[in-house]
Amino acid sequence: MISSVIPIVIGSVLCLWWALAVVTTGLAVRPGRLVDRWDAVSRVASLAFVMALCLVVVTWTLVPVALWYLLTVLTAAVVAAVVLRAVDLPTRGEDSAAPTRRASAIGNTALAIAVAAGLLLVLP
Amino acid sequence: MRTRTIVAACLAALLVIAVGVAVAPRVPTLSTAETGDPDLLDRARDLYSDGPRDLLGVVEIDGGTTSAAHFGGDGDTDYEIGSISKVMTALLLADAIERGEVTEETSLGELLDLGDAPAEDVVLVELASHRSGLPRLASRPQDVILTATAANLGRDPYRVDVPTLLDQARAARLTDRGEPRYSNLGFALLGQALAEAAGTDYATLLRERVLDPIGMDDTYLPVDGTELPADATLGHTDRGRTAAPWLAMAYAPAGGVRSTTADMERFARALLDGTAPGMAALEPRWADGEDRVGYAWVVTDVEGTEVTWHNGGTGGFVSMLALDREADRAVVVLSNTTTDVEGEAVRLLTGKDWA
Repeated sequence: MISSVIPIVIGSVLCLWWALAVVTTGLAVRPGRLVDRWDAVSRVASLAFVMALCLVVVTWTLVPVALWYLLTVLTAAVVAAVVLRAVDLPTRGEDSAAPTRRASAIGNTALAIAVAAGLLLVLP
Repeated sequence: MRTRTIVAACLAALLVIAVGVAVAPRVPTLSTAETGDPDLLDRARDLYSDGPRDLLGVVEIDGGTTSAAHFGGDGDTDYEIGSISKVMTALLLADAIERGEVTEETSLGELLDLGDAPAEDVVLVELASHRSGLPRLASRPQDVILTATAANLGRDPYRVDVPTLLDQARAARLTDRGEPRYSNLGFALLGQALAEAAGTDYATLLRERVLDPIGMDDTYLPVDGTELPADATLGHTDRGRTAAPWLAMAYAPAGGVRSTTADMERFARALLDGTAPGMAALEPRWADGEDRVGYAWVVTDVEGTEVTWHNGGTGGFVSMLALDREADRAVVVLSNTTTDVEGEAVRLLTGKDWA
């Protein structure tokens, strides 16, 4: 009994993190929130990362798999919204935080790609 | 322009959904392809229908009568039996003592090159009874990282050769020696030491001294992937994915054996009638909490019934072998998911709840 509590808690926290990432990205799609396309890329990459993390770490025999599908659909909707919004954004903002955002986007994207590639290589 | 953007957004969404569905966790349910004894099927279904299950095989021995129930597969379906391998290694120890190849007090250092490591003077009986003080798993940082990573990703955490196992043993520290401390590392070393004493490798030793005499022809130890048949049963991890098979490399004595319910029936029957080699291994001699242990075997009092048992678990399989030696009864349960089977097996054996 006790041994299954910890994975349930960990799984719940990770799914909550994924849900929060979806919500915050969804809110960022509103006008004036996303600054440039690098910002959009960064948020999508973050979503991909947390999605991969949930796939690997969550004990899905204890956490309902329906949650996976629900969050996947919500993620897809948010990604579509980001794509729709991104066309109206400048490639690169001109404010002082633009270089940081760009670095963050590159970092997040690299991390997401590394995780996805790693999973493809090592998952049985 | 707007249409192209909408199409791009739809494609992006579809891509996410396609990837999400393709890699989605799969949580199987107990197979409905049932064969075997109708009464045992009914009783086993009642006990095992909950939780993630897939293939499940049950054997019940009652004196001269044997019943089997299969939820998917049949008596020849192979399963990883995990730590039930340890009781086979335990039989090998008792048998080797009877042959005069080793004694209980033979030290690891007499059989394996461990230099002046703390494990060098650990004796075989300490390994067999989990009182050596060796850690459960190898404790070098690289081993801890590799084991944890492999376990989380559904891969075999024990893919090390014998020289690496010896390196792990040389680096191991002993903690609370003399006290019960379950150790896979210890049992791996025990099996390799017995093989060394017999002048062969572990797989050959087990084949010649336990499997062949009992007639367990479909039980095997796949040292590498090429020795796994194409139709080898795959397990399911608790993460909802297919588990990589655990191979029988240096840790085979602790958990590398694959077997079938038909072979495990032969094994259980040989244990009940005392024809298995190394039967002294079953005799409980040390206290471990409320249980008593022999060489690997655990003896538990279940509401007045003495149950001699060992369970097993790998990345995608669980198993249980439980004996009521006094009543000449045994139950074997093999499954290709990681959902526990032990308590239900004891209930089938004794009709009583196992705390």
